[in-house]
Amino acid sequence: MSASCDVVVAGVGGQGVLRLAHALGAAAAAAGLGVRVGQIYGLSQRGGSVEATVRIGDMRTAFIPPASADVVVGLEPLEAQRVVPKMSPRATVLVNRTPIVPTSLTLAGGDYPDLDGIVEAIAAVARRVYVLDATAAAAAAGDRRLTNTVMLGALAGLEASPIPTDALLGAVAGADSSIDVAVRKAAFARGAGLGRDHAGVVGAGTATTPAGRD
Amino acid sequence: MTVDTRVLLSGNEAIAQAAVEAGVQVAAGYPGTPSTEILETLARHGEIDVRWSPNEKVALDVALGASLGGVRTLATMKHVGLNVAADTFMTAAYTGVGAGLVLISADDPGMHSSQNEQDNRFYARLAGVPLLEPSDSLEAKEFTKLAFEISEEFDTPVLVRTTTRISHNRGVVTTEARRVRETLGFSRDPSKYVMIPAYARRRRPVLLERLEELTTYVEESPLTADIAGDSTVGVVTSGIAYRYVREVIPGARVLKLGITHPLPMDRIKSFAAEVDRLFVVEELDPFLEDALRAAGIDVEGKAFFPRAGELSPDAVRKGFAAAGVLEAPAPVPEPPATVVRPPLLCPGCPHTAPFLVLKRIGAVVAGDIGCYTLAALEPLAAMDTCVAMGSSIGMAVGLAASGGTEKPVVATIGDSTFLHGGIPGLIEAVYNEADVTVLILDNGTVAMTGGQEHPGTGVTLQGEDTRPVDLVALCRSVGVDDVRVVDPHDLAATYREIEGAIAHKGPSVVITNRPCVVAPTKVKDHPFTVVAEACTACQLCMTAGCPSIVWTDETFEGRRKVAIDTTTCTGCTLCAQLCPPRAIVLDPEWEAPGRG
Ligand SMILES: Cc1ncc(C[n+]2csc(CCOP(=O)(O)OP(=O)(O)O)c2C)c(N)n1
Repeated sequence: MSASCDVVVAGVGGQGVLRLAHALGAAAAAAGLGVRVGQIYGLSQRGGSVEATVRIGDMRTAFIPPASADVVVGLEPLEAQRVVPKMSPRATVLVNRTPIVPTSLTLAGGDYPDLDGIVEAIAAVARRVYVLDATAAAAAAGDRRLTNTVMLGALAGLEASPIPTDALLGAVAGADSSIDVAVRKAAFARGAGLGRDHAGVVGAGTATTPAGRD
Repeated sequence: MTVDTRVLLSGNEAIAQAAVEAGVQVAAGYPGTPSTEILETLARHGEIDVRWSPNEKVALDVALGASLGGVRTLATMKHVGLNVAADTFMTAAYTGVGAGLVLISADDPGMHSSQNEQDNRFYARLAGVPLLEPSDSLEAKEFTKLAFEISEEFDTPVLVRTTTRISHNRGVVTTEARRVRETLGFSRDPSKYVMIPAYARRRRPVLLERLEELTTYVEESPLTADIAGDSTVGVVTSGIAYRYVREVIPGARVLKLGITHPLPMDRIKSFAAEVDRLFVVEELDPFLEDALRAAGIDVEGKAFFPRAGELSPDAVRKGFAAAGVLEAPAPVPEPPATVVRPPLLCPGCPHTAPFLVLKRIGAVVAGDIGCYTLAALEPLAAMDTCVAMGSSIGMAVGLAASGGTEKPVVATIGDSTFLHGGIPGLIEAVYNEADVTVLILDNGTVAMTGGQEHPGTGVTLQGEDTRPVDLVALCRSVGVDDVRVVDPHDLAATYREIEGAIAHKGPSVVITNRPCVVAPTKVKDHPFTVVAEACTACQLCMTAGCPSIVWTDETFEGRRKVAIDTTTCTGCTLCAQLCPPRAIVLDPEWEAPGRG
């Protein structure tokens, strides 16, 4: 893994996309790496799509060029699919399998697309796709809101970024949060377990981890 | 705050850090994306007097007053906020300052959360004040600190302009210790601070001379940086555009302007003479380009780079490709045709019911700016205008005066927006006897910008209790006879009160008072569920547009039934009130947190 790494975090407003990006950035900075975090907040947070970028290394901007993200963390399946144009052929993609049905879709009478189809669309571009039930793992750890922390743990377990695991855990523990630090650490550990189960699985394809397996 | 450490800060946090280090003692502003976190961060410092003002003009007045009182002062606002503060700003350039006064204008190219994308660099030229444009968090801190020095050295307010990407993106910043200088105190000087015509006429030449001196300063400033490169292409640029240029065409020679008013035209001219082709790359309007042309410099810019929307590395690459400088970029794959996910009112939002009622009544609705503006979209689709903060009431009065509609005319305005700019509109309605109804949507917070306190909440930015503005008494005191208060979670009562107020001849006010479900406290009451056997699939509940209501696979007479996501339902009861067969009931399986 080279010292530079472009990460895209995608999800729905309220899922903690920005917190996850901030934790990644803070961990990179704490590990002495150069880092820029790209994020926009505002209207998008009212249940809309949210995307953040974390560029590790000596970067001039926080923009990740098309087809060049090394890692994508999707907190929601449709949102992971939305950033397919950002994924490089080398990309490692983590997808939380719990969908959040867009209300616009509900109002139009439509149905949420099939998860397999979403995973296929991602696998057509990226090198590795991991699907996990981070929402269930977060609930099992004690708080559904920690879906993002589980995903961060999974990223650490997979060793998908150049940021050392202890720096990531440090960022989780040091975050400004109303949730008990022990619960946050537990969520991270569960994610790390889910990630470790699949570390080393190389090649296109999907690894679906059933909920609460560890 | 920490001392001498490397931290990852957003541009807004970096500006707050600069204010700490520069020894700022008073800071005032009004929330507005992308500027809001500057004061929120600064307020955590404790030692500094940091406050939300009712609007941006008052904030700048406070800041100017504090500066004349001899302490360093920061004022913050979003770009459109400077329109509100412009009256003070224009003449503050005449009075000059006591201690350093820096105004942050956070612009929003691309309109991520704004009603327009005006380029506030023109305000610096209009007022005749220096303008600094940082290009990332590190510069946001350094430039803001320098701005205080410039303010004091040249006796002028200084404008620092950021854009959304600068304000929100994070980069590594090194922090230093806070240094507070001795307070200068207020020194009386009417000829400088009382801008009657006789004195103002004397200050105008002072302002112009100051600009001459500033020009010399900018010519020599290290913020005017000539970056070596291949001279076949030379680029003059500033702010975030500088970073895009360096990323996209790293070999080009670049003149980076950290200060973009006044301009170092001598430096620019000699730079122009040393390159074969000269470009200006800037976001939004041709602010620099026009100035260079006016100075007789042959330059290319907006012919290749967009004037509307945000720039991006991609847009800059495309521009240079169109100019024949770079190869055309590889086509970007089209984003997949996934479902869009527009922002929505939250489950349980107290703004939903009033708009359901207005839609049912068929009123012409002059809207305003805040979370409730989302009611303009489907499925509520119950708002007809939205222009600037506070405009709803005056526009409703105008719509009524025009005789252009037979329907009742209603203004809808949030509590913070009402206190910001709505009160004069209400006075207009009373004074000129308009037959309009004003709905004040009092959710006890500035929800749109992330849940800040305001003068109606009874709490200050620093978390201290204060006297809240009494909205009912305020409306009565300006002469509104018909003032009603209703809980917007009671649909029938909301209908009754709005209908009654509309029937009242002359101005009337309905205040809906129910706290926001997100701020200051996240509301999670006993959620509701749908008894599937009882659901007749009338789908009336769907008209509220609540994100917690979803379809099921079951049908009734061919129509789909609904279900409720109990994890997101806040228990507002609105859908249960809408449900004709009473199929929506309290979830019997729910366990209140802490009791399970
Ligand atoms: C002049 C100006 N200042 C600030 C803003 C940013 N802004 C948009 S809406 C809003 C206030 C919203 O508060 P409120 O009226 O109470 O409605 P809510 O969002 O709580 O429903 C603010 C500060 C703006 N658009 N224009």
